[in-house]
Amino acid sequence: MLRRSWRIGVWVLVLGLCAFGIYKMEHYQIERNVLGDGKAPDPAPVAKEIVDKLSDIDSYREVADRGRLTLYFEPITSSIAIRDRSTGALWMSAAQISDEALGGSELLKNSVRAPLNLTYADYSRPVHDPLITNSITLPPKIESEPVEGGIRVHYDFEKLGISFAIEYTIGDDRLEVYVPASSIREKTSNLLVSLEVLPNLGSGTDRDQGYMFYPDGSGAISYFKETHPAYKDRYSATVFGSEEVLKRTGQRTENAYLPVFGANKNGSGFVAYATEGEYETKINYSPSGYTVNLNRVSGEFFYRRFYDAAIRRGEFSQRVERNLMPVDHRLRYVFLSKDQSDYAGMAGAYRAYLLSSGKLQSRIAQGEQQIPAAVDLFMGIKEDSVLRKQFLNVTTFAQARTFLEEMKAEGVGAMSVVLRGWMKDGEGDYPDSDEAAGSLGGRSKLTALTRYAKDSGIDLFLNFNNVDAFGKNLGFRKNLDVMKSPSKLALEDYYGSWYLLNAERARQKFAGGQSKRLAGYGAAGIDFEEMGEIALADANEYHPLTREGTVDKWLEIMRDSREQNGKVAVRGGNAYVLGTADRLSDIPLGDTGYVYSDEAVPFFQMVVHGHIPYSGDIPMNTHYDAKELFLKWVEYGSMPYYELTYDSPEKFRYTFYSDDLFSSTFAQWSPVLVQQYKELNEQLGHTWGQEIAGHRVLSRDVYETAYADGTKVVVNYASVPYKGAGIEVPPRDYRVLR
Amino acid sequence: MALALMAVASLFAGSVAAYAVPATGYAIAPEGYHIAVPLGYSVERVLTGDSEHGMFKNPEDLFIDAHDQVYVADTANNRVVKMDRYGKILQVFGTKDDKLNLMEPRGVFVEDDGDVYIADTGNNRIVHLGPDGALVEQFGAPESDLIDKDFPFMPTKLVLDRNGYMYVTNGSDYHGLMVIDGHNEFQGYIAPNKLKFNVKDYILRKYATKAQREALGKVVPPNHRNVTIDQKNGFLYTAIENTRLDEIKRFNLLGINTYPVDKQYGEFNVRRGVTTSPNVVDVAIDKDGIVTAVDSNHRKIYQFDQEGNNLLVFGGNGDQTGFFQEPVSVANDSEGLLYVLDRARGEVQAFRANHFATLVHKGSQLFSDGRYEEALEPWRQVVSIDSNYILAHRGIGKALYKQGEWKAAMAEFRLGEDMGNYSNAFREYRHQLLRRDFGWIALLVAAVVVGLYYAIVVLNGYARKVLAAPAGSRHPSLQNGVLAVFAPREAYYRIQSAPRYGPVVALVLGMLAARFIQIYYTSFHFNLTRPEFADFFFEVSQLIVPFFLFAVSAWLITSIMDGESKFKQVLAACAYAMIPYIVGTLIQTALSNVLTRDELAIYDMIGTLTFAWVAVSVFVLLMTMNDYSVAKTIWVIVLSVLTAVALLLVGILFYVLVQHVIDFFKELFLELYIRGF
Repeated sequence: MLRRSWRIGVWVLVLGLCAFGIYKMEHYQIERNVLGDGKAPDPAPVAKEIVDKLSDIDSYREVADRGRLTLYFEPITSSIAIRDRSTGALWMSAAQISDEALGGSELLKNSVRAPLNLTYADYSRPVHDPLITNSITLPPKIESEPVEGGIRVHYDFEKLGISFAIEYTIGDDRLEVYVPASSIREKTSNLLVSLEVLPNLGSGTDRDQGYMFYPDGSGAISYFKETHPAYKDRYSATVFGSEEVLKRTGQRTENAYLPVFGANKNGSGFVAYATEGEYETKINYSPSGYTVNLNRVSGEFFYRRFYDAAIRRGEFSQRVERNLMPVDHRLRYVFLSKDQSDYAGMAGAYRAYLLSSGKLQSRIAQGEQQIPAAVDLFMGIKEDSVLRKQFLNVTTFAQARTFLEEMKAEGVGAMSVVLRGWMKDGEGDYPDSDEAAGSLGGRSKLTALTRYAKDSGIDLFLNFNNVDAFGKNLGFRKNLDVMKSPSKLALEDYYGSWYLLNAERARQKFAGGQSKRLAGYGAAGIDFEEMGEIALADANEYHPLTREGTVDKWLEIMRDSREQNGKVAVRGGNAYVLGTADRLSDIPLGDTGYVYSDEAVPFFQMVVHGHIPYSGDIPMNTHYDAKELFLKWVEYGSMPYYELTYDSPEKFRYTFYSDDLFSSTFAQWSPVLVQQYKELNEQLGHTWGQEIAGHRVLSRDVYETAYADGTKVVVNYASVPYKGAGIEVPPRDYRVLR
Repeated sequence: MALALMAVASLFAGSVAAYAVPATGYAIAPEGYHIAVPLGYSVERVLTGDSEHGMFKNPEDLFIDAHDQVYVADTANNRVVKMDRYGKILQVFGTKDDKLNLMEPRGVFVEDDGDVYIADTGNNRIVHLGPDGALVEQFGAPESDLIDKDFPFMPTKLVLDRNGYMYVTNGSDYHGLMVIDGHNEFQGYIAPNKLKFNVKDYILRKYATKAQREALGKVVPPNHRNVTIDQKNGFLYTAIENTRLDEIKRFNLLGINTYPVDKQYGEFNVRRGVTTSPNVVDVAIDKDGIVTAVDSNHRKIYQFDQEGNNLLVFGGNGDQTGFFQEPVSVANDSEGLLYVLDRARGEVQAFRANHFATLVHKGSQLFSDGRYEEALEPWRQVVSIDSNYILAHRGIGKALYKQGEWKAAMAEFRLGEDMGNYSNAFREYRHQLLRRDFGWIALLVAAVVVGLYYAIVVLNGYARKVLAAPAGSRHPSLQNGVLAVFAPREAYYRIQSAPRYGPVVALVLGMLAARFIQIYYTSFHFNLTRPEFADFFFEVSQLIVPFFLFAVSAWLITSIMDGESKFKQVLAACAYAMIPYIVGTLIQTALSNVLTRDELAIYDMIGTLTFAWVAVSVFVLLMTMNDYSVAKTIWVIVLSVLTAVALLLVGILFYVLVQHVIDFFKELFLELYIRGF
């Protein structure tokens, strides 16, 4: 009897629990934001009268004066203004434009006058969308306190539960914007994603004169102009390149190599660059015609990133990172004098900063008189065949040596040579092996080649890739050694065949013998693939690294290699390599070519020329227009660049490398190389050790590059002759003025 | 082969090349894979309208007249804009002042004397204007019993020939181009597209109920999206949208398509899980007959020669100059510049051919005219810029062939992947060799023939000797091998009495060896499976799997059909039955290096004989080993084959199931790993 009632009791309990469980599941509600579900009324936007008066300096108060610059502050919206006495310009955080000229909605009208745009995401929602607002539409509580040379402003977005502080300070010629990470507080499930500070400083209307500069590839400018279509996209580039390295679709884009942007407006200008937190910064340029008729350029500071979390196989949901990256951001606006207000002046100011802070190391002797020829030699690759993978000898070490000897004999005095595919498995089997390919001549022939190069003053680098990793390579562990996304899944391409190595693992492997073995070949240095082109945050379980952390490990590898070999080369020119590298490759001689860009400018080259040798990203032998490329070399001060082989490229036609190289034999290209080398050095050899002092557009398709010693080069890409002051340049040609 | 290469290309196209961004385009080889080439065209200038007249809004058509004036049908602005070729606006038709009241004009055509014809789509009419913009006449819907009432008059594109006939595309009317004369009389439809027979559709329709059929929708032929006229040669070119075959057609004025048919002029590709089908929306013809097509799905420009060979491809999706968002129209000017209208961007990009493209055009034009030797120089230059450009190698090969340089021509055709012409050059080369060294060659052939004959005689003698001797003495495996050829019945008796696994392994390996020798050493002009493209596992399994499946199923069937053989015996005998395959394949491979494709019949006959011999061997072995009658043997073979197929299906099913289980555990592990870490 007792047992029976027990049994009934247990049954009732179980059924009851089940019913309760089902009831709970049926009525499950995701925990909503305490404030964010519409219950609390939105605070009213800043009153229209106040917004309208933001372009009037009288509503501001002076907070700091440094002789040349004066900083003004408007307490209700925290707008700031800077008066530059030397140029007479008044730079305001609120755009000076009438509503009808601007076009667009009320929200957009507010945003072009706001000193601050903010992006956040609500973590309590199932899908984390970026939500964008600005400090005029959603006014925060603002408190300010004076600090040395400026003002510290506390923002409290009570509705969102997000608060932080920003310091605006001025120096002799500069405004510094500093956002200390320690000041950021989040009270609710609203998480701060990014801050775009002073998005409208220097903004230009269609009727203003001037242009915006942004660091797309070598650098690009977009003029203020009335004739423009409506654009669907703007320029928004993560500094040092997008993190979507393996998921890229067809569209080719160039990196933002440098964390810098600038504005030239009605004869005065500024350049702005991130001095802290550049790894978590985006550069934005909104052309007039993108939502509103106003040209705006700005830096955006990031604290979190979005990622795709796997829900189930093949299904992803956008999530935002839980933890804030405690990165301090500092952006410096340097106001330029009237005669230095163009992009060349911007480059000069930025270069001065890099040199003084040690972030750019000079590797070229001042009096250097010879532009080296940059030659990549493609040595070997494995070809798939039905029974075995066949190693194709495209250029053996001995053939490479003969080629170098011939070039020397022909009078090519200075060369910077990179060997590709020299290792055991040839090109394209990443991560690369550190053993020399036996069939190319092995270690002995390779050391003979490097010795010859050293003795004849040729810089010879060994290309090495320990960033990429292909699934079929057995040299790494696919679940431990690779970069991972915050969802803990490995970063891989669509086919699951391409990974990236965790930088710490790569460093350990490098330090544990690779470095010594590579140095043992006696080359001038190692040419590191990828390290100057990409930067990624890595959520690897054992060695999680931020973007900066990954790059630091790579820099450690490079410095280690440099100590062993004497020099180090790197592909790509992201700003962080400029303090270490002795040679840069794959530096684009142009921009991406976005529809809103009007001119590509050699900004990167102006910063680096005379300090680090660099070559372009397309070798002469595969370029579609030899003349144009040669003129680009002349204009951009680049090394002449070729990628050559001994055997005909027909040999490796059925390998993937036929996409890159389809005309490359020594026999065909040596005479071209010799002729172009001689011509370049005769005309411009003396400029190799000098900085580029100026660059300007003389006319459509006609550009002038000026060097520190006064040498001027006028390049005419047009099909008609150019006649200018004291100079005549035939079509598709150039002239040098000493 | 083409497939394999494409797979390789797509694997790598996005990977290694993605960082360094070479300024390259590609060409599509006749076999369908991509060849990287230097960028064919680069942007010279961009025409956008101006702030005074307003920018373009969803423009849909572009026309360049004899004086290089550019006309844009600015559809959403209800106007047609006339510009000079630098983009300066000269005249606007459809303004407030001229009272034309155009509504969504989608097409424009201009005669040599400057008369403008506008397809005023929204108003269901065609407007004819004088060069000054004054209204001359308008054409409303023509009347005729022949016109399908389902398609009201909605002219979208039009051209005029020299006789004043208008050829009009009418909305989605699939009957063809409407021909309308100068009196607005309907002259009939020409150039209808036909629907291709489709087995799947046929079965669906045959067995579907009426309701289901209706749900499927009516299948209609694709319609002409666009029409262009080549006044010089009197051809009408049309672009046909949303079809996967024959996207471009070239009609003579009788309405007969003279462009190569059953070819793909667009691309259909699946990349990273995204499928893009072709949608060719416009074509343009330059003075040399180069056909330029624009595809608004791929957002690319494709160029073809007169024979429909792809010359190069450029463009793609992107918000960059030189790329497109929605290209809808293309036209040439007299200077050779290519203008492409982008509907979404509202701009015209003018492209100039780069050096490489110019050379390719020159070469292909001379080649099309049959002037092979004149084409040699441009093709040589093309190859020096891109050694992988297949058409150039073919062109050089043709020229060398004409000059009688057989050996060199063979090398070029080999690089040009052209089996037919390689074979022709080889035939001439063989002829030349024969003439030069007839004596030696005749001697060699005689020696080989005599040698072969003698070998057969010796082996036959050996077989007789073995037959006389008792079974199992000396080298039974070897003896059985010889007997399997010369006295199969005795051979299979002996194998049945003493089956061994050693010879099975050796013969299966021999079979594989013969196949790989065939892959590696068959001459280019016969070789359909080249070592670079062959897949090891596929090749091995296509021999091994049927062999073992048949052995197993034959054993299964014989054991239930009063058979007398064990599995080991069947397997051993089957292995010996493959000897003819090994011998035949080797002979075929050797002969491929002497024959030309004209003698394809001989080559194929050897293959057929080989398989017939194998079949006979199998027949004999089953019959002898199980004491079957002829009829029963045939019946057993049929059953065995069916069983083998059934086994294969079961195997595949099992594999799929196991794969699912493995996937399940993988996913479970991943889930635990993600949640747990």
